[in-house]
Amino acid sequence: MKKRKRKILTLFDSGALITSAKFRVRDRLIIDYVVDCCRVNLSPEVKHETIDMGLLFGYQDAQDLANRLDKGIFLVLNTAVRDDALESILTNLGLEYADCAIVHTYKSMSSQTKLITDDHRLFISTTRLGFSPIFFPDLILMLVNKEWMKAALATEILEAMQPRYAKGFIDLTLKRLKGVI
Amino acid sequence: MATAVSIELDEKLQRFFSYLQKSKRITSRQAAIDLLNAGYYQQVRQLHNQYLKGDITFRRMAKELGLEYRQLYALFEELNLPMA
Repeated sequence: MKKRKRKILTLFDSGALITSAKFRVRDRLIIDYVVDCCRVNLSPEVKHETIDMGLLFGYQDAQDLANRLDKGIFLVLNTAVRDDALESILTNLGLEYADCAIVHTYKSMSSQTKLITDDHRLFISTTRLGFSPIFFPDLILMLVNKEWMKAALATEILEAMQPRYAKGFIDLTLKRLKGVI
Repeated sequence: MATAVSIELDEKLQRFFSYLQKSKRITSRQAAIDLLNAGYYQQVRQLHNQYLKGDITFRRMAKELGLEYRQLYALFEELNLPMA
């Protein structure tokens, strides 16, 4: 009997989550392909920034995210206990309150968890802390490498999200996907 | 929501302001709006450069502009500025 694969455990930052709910591929939002392969977790701060404030401003993607949250498709975690020593380090690294909250939440999760962020400062800071953050386009690549997703679909997803990234950023992921580099 | 403000310009700015009105044939109100907009968008682009280089976080940039996270994401979309 084939062993059922365990979904990839993720903690999403706000930017990556909004982007995932902005674009459609084959009539589905990108977030729907992600939740097929990943357990998507959010910190309360990310939920506030993306869903609560998004609904307040009337964004369709916030409504789409809220609908999925209501169906239990992803999970909002409890507020993480803040480690004072770490908080001071994070503040000195130039992280804001919600950035720090994400790090505290991430630290309280299983070491298998992938932090999905498109924020370079947060990416660098968490890398220096010994974590393994992933830019959102590279999560799509990982889904292909772990045989959760076909390369053709991943290519369409990456091309759909291209408008939110600098020229060259998605190109790199696409080249890695094709095995060029 | 529009806000009216009254400001005093120093001589240098007064001269530039007069030149702007004459050369572009615009009202003083429009000249003031154009100048403020130019300054604002220049600030947005400077902060965006800092954000892309990893000097500041997205949330820091939002704070510097007095915006919520969502509003800054929307501004990036409007100006076609990349998230990464």
